Amino acid sequence: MTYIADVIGWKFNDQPGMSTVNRVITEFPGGIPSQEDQDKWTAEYEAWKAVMDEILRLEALETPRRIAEAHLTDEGKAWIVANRDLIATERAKL
Amino acid sequence: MATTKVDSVLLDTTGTASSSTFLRGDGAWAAAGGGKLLKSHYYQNGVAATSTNTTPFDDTVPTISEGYEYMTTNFTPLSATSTLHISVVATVGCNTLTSSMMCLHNGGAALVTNRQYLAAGEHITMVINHAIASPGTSQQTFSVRIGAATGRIYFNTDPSYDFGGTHASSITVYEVEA
Repeated sequence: MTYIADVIGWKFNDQPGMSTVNRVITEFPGGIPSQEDQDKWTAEYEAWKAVMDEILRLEALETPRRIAEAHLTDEGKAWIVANRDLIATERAKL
Repeated sequence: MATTKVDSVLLDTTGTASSSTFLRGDGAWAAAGGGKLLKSHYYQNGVAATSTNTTPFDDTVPTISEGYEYMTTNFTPLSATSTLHISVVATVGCNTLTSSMMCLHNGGAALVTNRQYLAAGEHITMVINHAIASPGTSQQTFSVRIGAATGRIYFNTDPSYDFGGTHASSITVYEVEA
């Protein structure tokens, strides 16, 4: 379940004046945002987070053994290049 | 009378023996005094809350408008000459590497501050133990405000899990006779 505090923190770069109690916004500069806005920002956040989670997963695959093999063999180098292509594809979605 | 007992009338005492008095070394029947617990008060808060309201990491005294007020409780001392021992325990996290300041206020005045350095996603227990002379027998309002220098404070929760609201932060006040 996505935490609305994370959503507005991400959307508004943790600007001061945003508070939540029991996952409900209780303070927000200029007044509490509409539910429609909150739902829209939540969807944007979840899409962003899905991409970031995939990038982190792909980066975590590049273990010291994989990096060593990239230096030692053509197959190892090809694997790293392919993984970097996958990461670039994800980054392009941001 | 059993041989193991001494009738109180045989003692050279002053005062009145009763269920609320004790015999002192000087022979006086008197109520317990000096360090007696007059009153205790326990306030617990398990509400999950977050805030981006900051507390500056500097040499100034935290004000009542800095940070976010996560806990508040009222306490009316029984005596104007007692001491109030105040204990604060709070479960606090942050979403970024930063200093987090927790300040105990009485009314609008800061009493004492605790500062911890938090790593992103880290969750810790922050504690304040403080004692003040009783401000009198009028109602006192103790509040706890917490703010990070930057980023977002998580109180009784973290981004993913709050254990169904079973985190517990608290303010405990003991009033002790002088």
